Formats: sequence, C-alpha cells, structure tokens
Amino acid sequence: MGLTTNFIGLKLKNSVFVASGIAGFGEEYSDLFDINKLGGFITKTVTLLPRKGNSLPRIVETTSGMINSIGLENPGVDAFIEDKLPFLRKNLKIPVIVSIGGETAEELVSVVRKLNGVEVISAIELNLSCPNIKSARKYFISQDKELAYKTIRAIRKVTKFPLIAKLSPAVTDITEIAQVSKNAGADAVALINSFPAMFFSKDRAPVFGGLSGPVIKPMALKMIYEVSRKVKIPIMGVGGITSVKDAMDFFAAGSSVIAVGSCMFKNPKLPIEIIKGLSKNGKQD
Amino acid sequence: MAKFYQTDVRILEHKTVLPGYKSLFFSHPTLAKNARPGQFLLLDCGTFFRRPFTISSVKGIIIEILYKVIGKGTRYLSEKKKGDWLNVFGPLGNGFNPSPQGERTSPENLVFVAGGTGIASLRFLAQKISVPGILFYGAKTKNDIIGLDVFKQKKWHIKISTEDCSSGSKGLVTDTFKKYLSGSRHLPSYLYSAGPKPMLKRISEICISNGIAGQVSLEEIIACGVGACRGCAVKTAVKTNKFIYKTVCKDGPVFDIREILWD
Repeated sequence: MGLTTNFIGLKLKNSVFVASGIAGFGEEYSDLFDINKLGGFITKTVTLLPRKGNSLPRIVETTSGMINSIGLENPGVDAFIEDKLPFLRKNLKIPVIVSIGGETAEELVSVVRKLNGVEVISAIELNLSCPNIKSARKYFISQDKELAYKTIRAIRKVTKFPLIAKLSPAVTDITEIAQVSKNAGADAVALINSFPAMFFSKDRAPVFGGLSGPVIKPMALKMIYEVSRKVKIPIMGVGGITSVKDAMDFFAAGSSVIAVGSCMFKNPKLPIEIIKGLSKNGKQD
Repeated sequence: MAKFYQTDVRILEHKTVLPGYKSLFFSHPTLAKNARPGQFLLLDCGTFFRRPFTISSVKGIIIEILYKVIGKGTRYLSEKKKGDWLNVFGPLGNGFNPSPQGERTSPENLVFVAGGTGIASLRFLAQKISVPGILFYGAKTKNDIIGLDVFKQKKWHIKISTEDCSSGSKGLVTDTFKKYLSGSRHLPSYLYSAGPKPMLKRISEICISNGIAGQVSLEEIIACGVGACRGCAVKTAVKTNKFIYKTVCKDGPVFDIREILWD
C-alpha cells in the first residue's frame, strides 16, 4: 500500500506528499533529505501579488497541535516563477504541484494564466480554504457551494493542469462541497485544511488562524471517509499524520495519496520515514 | 550555508550547574565541526514544537547546551539521563558574524551584553574570540548567574547586574551598560548581545545613539527551523522606508542592530 501509484494522471513513485506551506518552495529542507524521494512536492501557496503576511505572533503550540496565522506570506506569482521555480526545475524529478490562493475567482484565474505552460508544473492545488486571508467575505470560497463551483469552473476553463481543490473542514457537510468541486471540474480534493481557530497573544489580543496537527486527525479521517463513500473523486488526505500507522488510517479511510503537514516540524524526516514504512508494509502485504 | 542534520545522539553528561539550570553534553563530529556561535539546535522535547537551544560551547567533538528549566519542554529534557537518546536537528540559523572591524587588541573595544540564558550563545562566541572584552551580564539574582567559566579563563572584564542586588550592580543590565558608557572616556566599538527582546531593543537603541555597531541574537518560538513556515517572522528595515519580514530561524537568530524594527 502507498507505493507506485497514479493520481490525477501523475505517475508517482509513492503516495506521500508534503502539504502546502510546510516545506516552503522546496529548497528549505533540501539539506536534510532528497525531496525527490517524495511522491510529489506541493509549494507554499502563491498569490497574484506579493503578500507580507500577518503581524506577530504567527504561531502557537496547542494541546496536540498548533495554530498558525502566517497570512500566506509569499513573493507573488511573478517572483515565484522568476526566483523559486528555477530551483524546482533544476532539482526536482518528481511532480511539482503549485498551490495557489486568492480572494476572488478572478484573482485565481489570473494566477493560473501566469502558470499555464510553465514547464515543471504538473498540477495546481486550489487553496480555497486558508483561514488567514482577511477579506470582505467572512467565509472561505470552499464554504460556499455556489462560490466554490463558480470559482473552480472559471479556473477549469482556462487551464489544462489537473486541479486539486483543498477544502475547509469548517462546513456542515463536506461531501456537498466535494461533489460541487467534482462537478465544476476538479480532478481531486485535498481533505482537509486547518480548522479555523484562535489564540490570545501575550497581551490578550485575539489572533485568528488555523488549527493543525494530531488534534485534527480524527476529524480529517471522518471527512475523508464520508467523501470517499459518497463522491467519486480522488482524495489527497491531510491532517495530523504523524506515523506510518496514521498514513495507513488515511488510506483505509479512502485517500489515494497523503500529505504530511505540521507534524513534520516535530520530525523533519517524517515523510521519508513514512515512505520507508509503507514500502515495508507493502512487502509484508 | 552550512549543512544541518537530524540525528539521534546519546547524552554523554547531563549535570545541574545551579538549581534550575542544567548543562547537557553530546558528541557529533560533523555537527561540532560545522557549528558556529549564535547557531541553535532544535531538540525533540516531547512537545509538538521542538525547542530551540543555542549552542553554549564546542570542545573537539563535544557540544554543550546550557539551559534553564522553565516549561514543559525543558522539564522533559531535564529528566533525560546520561546515556539516554536525544533527537537533535541542526545546527540552524546564521550565527554571529566576525566584527567588520576585526578583533581589536584593546579590551575596551569589544563589549558583550547578556541577559539571562542569553549568556549561553555569547559563551560559545567568547570561546572563539582570542582577545578578551567586557561582559555585561544581567541576571535575576546571584542564583541565576551561569556560564562565566570561559569568560574568567580568558580574563574578560565582567560586570554583573542583578535585579535584587544580590550580586554586582542593582537593577537591569541595560542601565548598568548605559551608566558605563556615560562614565567612560573610551566607548567600545562593537557589541554582541543575547537575551530577552526588551533588553535587546534597549541595548540596540543605546548602541545606535552612541555610534556603536553590533549584532544581537533573538529568542523566538520556532516551528520548522529552516525558514519554510514563516512562523518566526521579524520586521526588518529596507531602504525604501518600508519593511520586510525575515525569519529568526534562518535569516537570524543573529541580526545587525540597525536591521531590526522593534515593536
């Protein structure tokens, strides 16, 4: 289980990714392990214009996890193509998935147009659920069925890249959002993004962010399980994976591939350990 | 940038230096060779985030971590015994840079200001610098003064401040330092400082207004340690009157005193 696989038309040597935002733009962890050992690489979310990110504090440890309020700090899509892609082009032999974010469908379409035809990119992940973008709306794109449909549809029309819709868990029925994602032309869904949460800074100012880590694993599993039984769409499972056993749980719940998230901060070599563990398990099966 | 490692090491020695303060030793030839003063290690302390510890000395292949037991992570660490395994990740970050002025022979030229456990990274730096300078060291009480051995061996001029007056001058190290400058005919030309943020802010202000150049090492909560997650951002100045966020873990923890925009 978890070995050579085909996911949204991409041939992968294993089913293990690192989730968006965890390993930056690929270069950061390259001293520690060979990124080419992963099934594929997902970049940190890129937006149309550069974003400085949120003021401090940006992270806090919680019971069995963390809250992040980074605010999609990124250099913007133009600088991404110019400064960050060359490293990926030169060094990566595995599929590169670019995560993109934006406040509106128009913004996301503009980002996709700039990425169209760029070599080295294999697919696009639509971050429709980052809890850290302040906007006029009080909800994320993936919390509104119609908006999710319109947005994914608009992007589908302008690109041939396979699309993965990353969904927010903060909805009444995740299967409905997964279904409209499929109807709109998404090739897969990534389940789940972090949970909207908050903490207080030292001087008791509220900080809003996304909760991740082992604490969200049981909720992630349930949502993956429900979607896999109701909607015919490949699932990338994300949310608190911290061991080979967790990875097996995510496959059992219905994930085609998995992505390691913030648990990598505790164990930077976790994705490599999971790949090794899965390959042992595969042999035993 | 130097290479970093994630590896299990065995604790060679783990001793209490003062009640609440411990020194942990392990060996790792390549890590010891690559480690520079000001760099840090992320240790697995049983908590979700690893805990950052600056390297407080390197002797041959032996690395020392001098720390205070303050919370869940350090308590977990403090219970580890000689022979136990420890998962280390590092060395991370940019360490202290040599002063652009080179090492001056006159001890009055070089000044260190340490607050609390900030002494740990400056201790490693003092090991590497051949000439002595002046160390200003602020601690809560006389029972919180650690890591002076290297400074004493190298004949540094040591000026202690304690908040309760149990040793040295009474009050904050920032005040002692400021008083020293105003009463001194010869101002130091270069500063290295490590400690809590409010102290570093004040020391930087004092140095800038007296035309003293230098570097400070920031303390921050660290998640990834490699500049990927952007969690440990710090506001830094750019020429155009704006700012950019740099990361304490990768761009720092050491910054030029003119670079940081303090809150």
